[in-house]
Amino acid sequence: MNAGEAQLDLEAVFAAQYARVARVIARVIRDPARAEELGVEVFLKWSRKPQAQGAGSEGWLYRTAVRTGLDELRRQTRRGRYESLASAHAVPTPEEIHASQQDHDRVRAVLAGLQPRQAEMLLLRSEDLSYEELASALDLNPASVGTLLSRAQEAFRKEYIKKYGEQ
Amino acid sequence: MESNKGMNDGEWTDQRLAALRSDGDWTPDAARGLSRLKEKLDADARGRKYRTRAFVAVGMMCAAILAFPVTRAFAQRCVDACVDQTSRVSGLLFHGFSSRATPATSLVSSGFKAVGDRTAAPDFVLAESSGKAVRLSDFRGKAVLLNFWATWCAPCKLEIPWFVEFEHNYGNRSFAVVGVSMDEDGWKAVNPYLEAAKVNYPVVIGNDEVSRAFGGIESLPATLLIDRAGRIASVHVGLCGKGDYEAEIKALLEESLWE
Repeated sequence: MNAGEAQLDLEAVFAAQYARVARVIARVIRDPARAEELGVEVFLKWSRKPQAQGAGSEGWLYRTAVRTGLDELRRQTRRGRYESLASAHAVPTPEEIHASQQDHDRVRAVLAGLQPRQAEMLLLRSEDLSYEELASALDLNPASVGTLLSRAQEAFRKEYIKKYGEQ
Repeated sequence: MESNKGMNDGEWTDQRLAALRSDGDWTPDAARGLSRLKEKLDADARGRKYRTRAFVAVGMMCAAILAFPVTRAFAQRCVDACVDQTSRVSGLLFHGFSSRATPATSLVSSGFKAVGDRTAAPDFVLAESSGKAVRLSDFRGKAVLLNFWATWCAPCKLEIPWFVEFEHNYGNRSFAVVGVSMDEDGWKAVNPYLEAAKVNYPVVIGNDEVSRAFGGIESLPATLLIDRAGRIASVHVGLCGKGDYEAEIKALLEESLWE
């Protein structure tokens, strides 16, 4: 593939996947502007990694997006900036904003405390990836996805209840 | 959020994670993203170009240095000086504070001695890997670089390619290199290394008797320059500069056999 074709290929993949990649990251870190920047970084990594290109591109991009988002979330948590980040999307009422943000923050805090692999799996599953797509994105044996996902869900529930109680 | 203790873990987790989906209909700005990506790719390409140019410039500088005898000699002196200084520092670090460093019965370095100050090198007969006997006195009439070394000694292995080169360059001018390996494991350890390093001079396995005869080989490498009359002209214990060896070899070859 020459440079021109590679550029076209990159643009085509970017046009098809960028919105979803940036949205996946935004769900994890609650900062759309930063999510857009990180989304670009994901594509930059993809363009530098020939083995990620081709048929498995989509899975690689989602997995990297989720990892990038989780890494950023952990960085934010460490910095203690997590609570002060502004939400950029409009929600009808202040009460709903408060309630919604509280839910977001709790889920994000629990995800940040899980094993990275389990958090990745839960987030990708919440993006409606099938078991086969999960196996491909995370390089797992398709037969073990169900078991691993159940363990991740159990770990998430335990961690959530430990932090916030059964609600 | 509804709570439900009866829910299984999957449903319960899906319900919580659904909170992350309530971000409404936010859509990232793909045009801005693509423009950022192109900027970064351009910056990447520029960085690669600068690195390539720097690499080519360094390569051209090296070629220019090696192209002229004067600059090449200067570079060689710089390398030798670095090797010499490194050797001194490592000697100080690894041997300088050790009680084994220079015991009364160990061979110590000496400068290049005038003919009148030299003493006769002890003779020995040891066997090469092939079984052929090597007697030091058989080299009388030739200047000899006698190198005590071992396969586990990293500085020794740094010097050996120089000795191969000396043997190649001066071997037909009344000069010979003789290696004495002090490996406890004998030929089993030595032969593979000799083959790999393409050693072109005779190598024998040393023993305590030979070590004692030369004043006690306590540190490796230990290298003696022996003149054509069989007298020790200089001793180097530890890594030495290639240029220093070569200068001494040339000086020995210029000496008259009857001095």
